Amino acid sequence: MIHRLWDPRWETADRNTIQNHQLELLKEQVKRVFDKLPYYRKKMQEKNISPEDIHSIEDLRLLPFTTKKDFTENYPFGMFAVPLNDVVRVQGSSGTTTGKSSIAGYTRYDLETWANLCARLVTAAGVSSHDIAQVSFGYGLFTGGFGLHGGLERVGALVIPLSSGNTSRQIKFMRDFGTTALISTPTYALRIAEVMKEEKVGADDLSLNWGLFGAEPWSEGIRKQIDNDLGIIATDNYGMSEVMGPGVSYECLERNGMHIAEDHFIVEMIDPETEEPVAPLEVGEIVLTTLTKQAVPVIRYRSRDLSRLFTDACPCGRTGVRMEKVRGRTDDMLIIRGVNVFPSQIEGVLLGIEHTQPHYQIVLTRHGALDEIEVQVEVTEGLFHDEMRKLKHLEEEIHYKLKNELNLDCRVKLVEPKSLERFEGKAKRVLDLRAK
Amino acid sequence: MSKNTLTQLAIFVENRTGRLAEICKSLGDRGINIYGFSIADTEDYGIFRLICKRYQLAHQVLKESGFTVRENEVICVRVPHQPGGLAGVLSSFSKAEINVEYLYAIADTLIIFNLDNNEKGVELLRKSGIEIIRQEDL
Repeated sequence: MIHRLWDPRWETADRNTIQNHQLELLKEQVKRVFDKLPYYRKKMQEKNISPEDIHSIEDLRLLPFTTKKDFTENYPFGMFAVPLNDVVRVQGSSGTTTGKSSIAGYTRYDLETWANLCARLVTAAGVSSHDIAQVSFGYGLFTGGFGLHGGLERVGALVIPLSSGNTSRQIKFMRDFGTTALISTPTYALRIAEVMKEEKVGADDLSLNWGLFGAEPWSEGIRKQIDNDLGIIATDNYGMSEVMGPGVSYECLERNGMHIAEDHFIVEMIDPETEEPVAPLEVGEIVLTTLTKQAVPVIRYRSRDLSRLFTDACPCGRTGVRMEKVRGRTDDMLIIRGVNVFPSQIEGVLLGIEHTQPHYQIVLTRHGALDEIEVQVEVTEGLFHDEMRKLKHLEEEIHYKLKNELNLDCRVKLVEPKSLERFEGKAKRVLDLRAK
Repeated sequence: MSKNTLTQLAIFVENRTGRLAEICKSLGDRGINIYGFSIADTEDYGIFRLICKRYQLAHQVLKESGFTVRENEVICVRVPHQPGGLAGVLSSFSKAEINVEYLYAIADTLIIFNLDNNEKGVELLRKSGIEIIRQEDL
């Protein structure tokens, strides 16, 4: 496998170089945040910490966390550490229940950094100036569309800014333009594959080589299916608007974890309950500190994403720490009769059953004091049988395997294909009807 | 030589108001006559099995309407219209150790069988002189 790098100086920097660089920038960043951001200065003062207390990277742990709540409380511009005049772009996350989004601002320098980090991302995923890249992420406040767009242009690829939706048209463009790289959510890639089947377009009718998917957690099983259905190499990438957007970490073609851009971010892995660091290789919540962001510098941002860190060498030559594919979000975690359940576990079980397309929905209800979980699975032609006992057997098999995986009795309900909602952006797999 | 079995269409149907009506309407709109059917049902869904002469067209129409459809081969016999008629057929199957997966009556005294060994069943029925109905006989 040929590995190409966009920025070899930093992507292959040795540990010492990275850590010295990180410490130097961290001290500056903390000082700037303390001086410019009242909300964070207050948090530091409450803990009796001043910028002068930061002498090593480990001292980062003395500092208070930043959370999504800080963004909504300081909506719209309270997180900006520069005058509005210096901000040239805003992006943001989807709104919360309060109706307020996390607003991220970018200076010209920030956009430059972002484009370069996304250039690293797309290069690692196989894309070069020879590629024709179709961006089927939504454009708008969401960072996926504009973020990847910037990186693709930076490496010189031909960019088709199609945005998501109108799947038949997406396929037509892929055919007409000879698209070689698809950029979308993994859920939307599956939808495209499904419509291709309906329209009898095979992977060989297209020119796709690379698939760059992000913005939601997806399992290795889904990856296998996308690889096969679209005939591509699907890679994962990671980021969030609060710290920048995509480009925080990205897989290379080895697909063994996402390389973190450590010259721009410090990553920590904590236990979400105790807030203490987890042991090496243990699952924890990702916490990120920006080192170079001007408009919205963030110290110890609680991502609520669960992952693990790898420090062993990667054959691609990049030296930074890698993070495992995100397993789920601390707030995706369902607590059902006291058992912790991630939708990704259910997805894994369904993919393990022959012929099952991963179209499913999880419905939670409460009867008296007892939580009920129902898993609705679409019955495709491959699964369907004219004999009732075979369908019953399928239900029992799913039930049994779910019980093995989750230690929970799930009600399994077979439903007609396409009776479950299709998702063009991020998938909504859980319907929680339990009274709050 | 034409085959000795009929092609049955089985359709996955959720227990929702109007689903069966939709199936029958979409076939009726295309002038497809249903010769007979059976339904196996559970609390959540059912299997609607039906026999049509133009089963290929019916399959296409149902698929276009978004249903999951499966084709499979079944045996159709004319059972003597007299006491013990069905019993005779069934006992010859059991003597030959052929299991019935399911059976249902369609028009008149025509009975649809799905056996665990349809080929052996057909041979047996022919030897016993029981009339077997082919697709083109419908």
